[in-house]
Amino acid sequence: MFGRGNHSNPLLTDMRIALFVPCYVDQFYPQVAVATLGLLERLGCTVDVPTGQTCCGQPMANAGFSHLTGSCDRLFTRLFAGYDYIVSPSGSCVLHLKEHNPTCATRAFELCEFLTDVLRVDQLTARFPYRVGLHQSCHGQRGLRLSSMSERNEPAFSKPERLLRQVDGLDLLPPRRVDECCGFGGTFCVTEAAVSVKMGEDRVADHLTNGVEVITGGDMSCLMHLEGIFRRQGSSVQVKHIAEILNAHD
Amino acid sequence: MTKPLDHATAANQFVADNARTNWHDQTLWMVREKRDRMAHSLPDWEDLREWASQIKNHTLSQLSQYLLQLEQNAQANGVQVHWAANAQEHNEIVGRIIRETAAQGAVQVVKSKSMLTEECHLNDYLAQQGVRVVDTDLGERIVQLRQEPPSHIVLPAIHLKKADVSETFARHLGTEPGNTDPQYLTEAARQHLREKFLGATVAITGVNFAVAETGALVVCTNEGNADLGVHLADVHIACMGIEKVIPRQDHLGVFLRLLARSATGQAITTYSSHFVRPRQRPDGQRQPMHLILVDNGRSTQLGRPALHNSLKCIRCGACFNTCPVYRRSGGHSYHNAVAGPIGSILAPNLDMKKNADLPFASTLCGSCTNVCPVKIDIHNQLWEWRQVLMREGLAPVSKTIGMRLMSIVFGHSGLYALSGKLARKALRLAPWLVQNRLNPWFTGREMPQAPSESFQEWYGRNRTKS
Amino acid sequence: MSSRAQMLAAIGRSQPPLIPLPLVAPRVAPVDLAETFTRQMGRNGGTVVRVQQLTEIRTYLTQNLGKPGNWVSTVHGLALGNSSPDKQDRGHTLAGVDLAVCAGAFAVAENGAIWLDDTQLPHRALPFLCQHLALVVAESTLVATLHDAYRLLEPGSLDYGVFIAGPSKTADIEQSLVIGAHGSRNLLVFLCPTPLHPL
Repeated sequence: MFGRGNHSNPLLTDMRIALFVPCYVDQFYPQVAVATLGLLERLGCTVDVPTGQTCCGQPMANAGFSHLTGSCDRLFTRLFAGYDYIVSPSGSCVLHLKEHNPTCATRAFELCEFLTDVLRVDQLTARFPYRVGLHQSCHGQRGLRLSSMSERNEPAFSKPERLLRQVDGLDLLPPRRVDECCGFGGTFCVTEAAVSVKMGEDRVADHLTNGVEVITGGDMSCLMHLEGIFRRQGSSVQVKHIAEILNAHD
Repeated sequence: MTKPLDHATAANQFVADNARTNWHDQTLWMVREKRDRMAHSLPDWEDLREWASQIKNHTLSQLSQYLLQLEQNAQANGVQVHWAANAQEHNEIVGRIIRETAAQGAVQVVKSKSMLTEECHLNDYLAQQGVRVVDTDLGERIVQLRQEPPSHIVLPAIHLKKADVSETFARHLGTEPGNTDPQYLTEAARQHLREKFLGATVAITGVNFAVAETGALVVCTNEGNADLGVHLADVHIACMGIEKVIPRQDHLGVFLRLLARSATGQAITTYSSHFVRPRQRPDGQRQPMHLILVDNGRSTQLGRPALHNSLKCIRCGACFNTCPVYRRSGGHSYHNAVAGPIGSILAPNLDMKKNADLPFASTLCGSCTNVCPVKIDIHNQLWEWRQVLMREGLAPVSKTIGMRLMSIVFGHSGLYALSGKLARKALRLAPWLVQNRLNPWFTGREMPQAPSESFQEWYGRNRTKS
Repeated sequence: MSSRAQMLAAIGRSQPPLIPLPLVAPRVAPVDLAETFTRQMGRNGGTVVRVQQLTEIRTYLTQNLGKPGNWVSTVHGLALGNSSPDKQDRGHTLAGVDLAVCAGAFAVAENGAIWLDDTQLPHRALPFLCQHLALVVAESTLVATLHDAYRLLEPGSLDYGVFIAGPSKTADIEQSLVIGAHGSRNLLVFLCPTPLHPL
């Protein structure tokens, strides 16, 4: 599974791993957290899910109210104290933690980051025989450096893509604008709804030219916004968090 | 004067014309792609950005010293140096110089591109004094004739189609109505502006870079309009923001390799003019040359530790071209001389109340930061401004209440779990509560489905805790 | 307190703690300078013609631009049409110039930029006012990058100088590129092996 044959990595059992579930995933897309948990366990991890999690504080902070995140931050710090790794299926939440919560900055990992840099996964047993478009969520890409950025003169790499290419039967089709923002942007999605929707519609149109069946990515917030547009257009395209695809088995 | 629309309202109107929005977005995206081709073909690109960034960081940390050195060298070159604390003083200085020139005969003023003079509303001020300024950059002349502000700092008329230009020129320059050929229209502008250059007594220019070491003022154009103004007019007035100074002449190698590539995807502008000593006139005297150093809030911005990076800006416009919001809302939505991402972190310094909307006209995607040739962390600056503005109490009451509620709910596990459960229940039982036009999400998107249990409820039910 | 004093005080108070200047060390990549310059000038909308002697320039011009009209040459040894304009002339007298031929002091291969300053220009307005512009550049004066170019310019030795990298142009009308805006309508570059004229 890790290129070391079929023996589980003895060091894995020493790792104290906690799963942080973003608030909107907890409430609206629980299947993403179920898949994340399942995937990590399948890869040999023992994962705790601290009870009583709420939020990382990003929605308030990005809206200009970082001065109100104290109680939320303290709750987070208390619940996740003592873990070596805090893994979350959300690039934006993890970026926020790294930049604004010093107690867990070095311990927080986005899922693809964790699989690539810590578990060093290079072989998955997943199968997902569909035409898939990858949406590169901005905070994960530019903030956490999950992949190279089209604006920069730098060698190409992509942690999510590398993982998706390990999935049997998956046909990955890149859009024309590989890393343009979807337009969700937190409260932006409602305070500037017109531009937000237009940005989302343009992403949708870009992916539709490839005849994709599924859109995936590392942030359910982006996918929720794109899904809302697909549904409004009556499209049959599905959105699936990358955790669901990497954990997909027949 | 009517209060300008806030960004969201203006953007809403802009985006309503879907075809035009697509055209505006595509046009600017192509400029971004031209920049990319340059960035990817120069092996030194990322190093150049780092050097430019550090030179600017250093300069800002020694700004007063470099301005003194610039003043000393410019004066030694025969340039008169003026200091203007704000826009009003700047305008008065320009007005006075023009009046003194007028004392010797009729005055005709031409101006090449200067975002600083836009910021100070110089043209309006001079018009009130009875002095008409002719903007000579083609894009600026077009918007001037149309009596509208530029929508982009490098491509002032990017929001206009050739049919719009044709109509404007037919009305003001007497070109053939309906002839939209860019070649034809440019030729008409050439003839029209040539007359202005030859008749000009005062030439006003901006300054791309002012070299402290030598007193040189560097101006970059593709059209040649800055030089045509300065070399023919009797008086040269150069207007610059204090942050435009750079320490040494050799630093121009770094900045000029970055500027045009970032702005338009060209290796360099057609003309990069270095004005050092004023030209000698036929009578042996030197052309009066003035340099106006303008503060207008810059020293205040400099004193904001988390927010002064915006002063590194070299006005290339790359951030505009990459910004998915700017491309779909247009420069006029930002109600400021400088629009786009950089405008959104400069304008609140000028007036927090009027410009409180701008830092929120962004998804914080970070693309702007990546294209900035001087590595301004624009998306972080936007975030920082949001904190400042909200702490200043500039949020709508509903937002403040909502945020306080959120902070309470997210601070208490039980309250969060209960609120989530109730919200989901309400959405499942009464979807019409949110599936209506009052819900801004719903105007363009379907709502997500509300599951019967949260992940934590599922976990509690299905898994024994370890 | 004067604005100057006020501003300097405010700036001095506000400026951040000292950050040192970086060490700027651009890569030195071996390039064929003439080939790079020619290719770049082409991209900029100019045309490069290789010549060995001044007479070739006159021949080329008369063959391609017709009988000399109001033509001005500031290149020593190249007389065309009228003689070189007097240094004292008011720039406006040059408004009727059809073709100006000037010497470039040196040029930059990476971007096609040709340097002219007061020593090459009898009047600063000349290369901007003329309808057509031709610049004579010696291959031996080509440098690779702008960094190299600025090493050739002694700080403080300059009154006025300009890099001219092509014909004037604009894309301000719906992003359609138009060659020939307010400055010269085109740019011809005569590339000769070594300077044909004393610099």
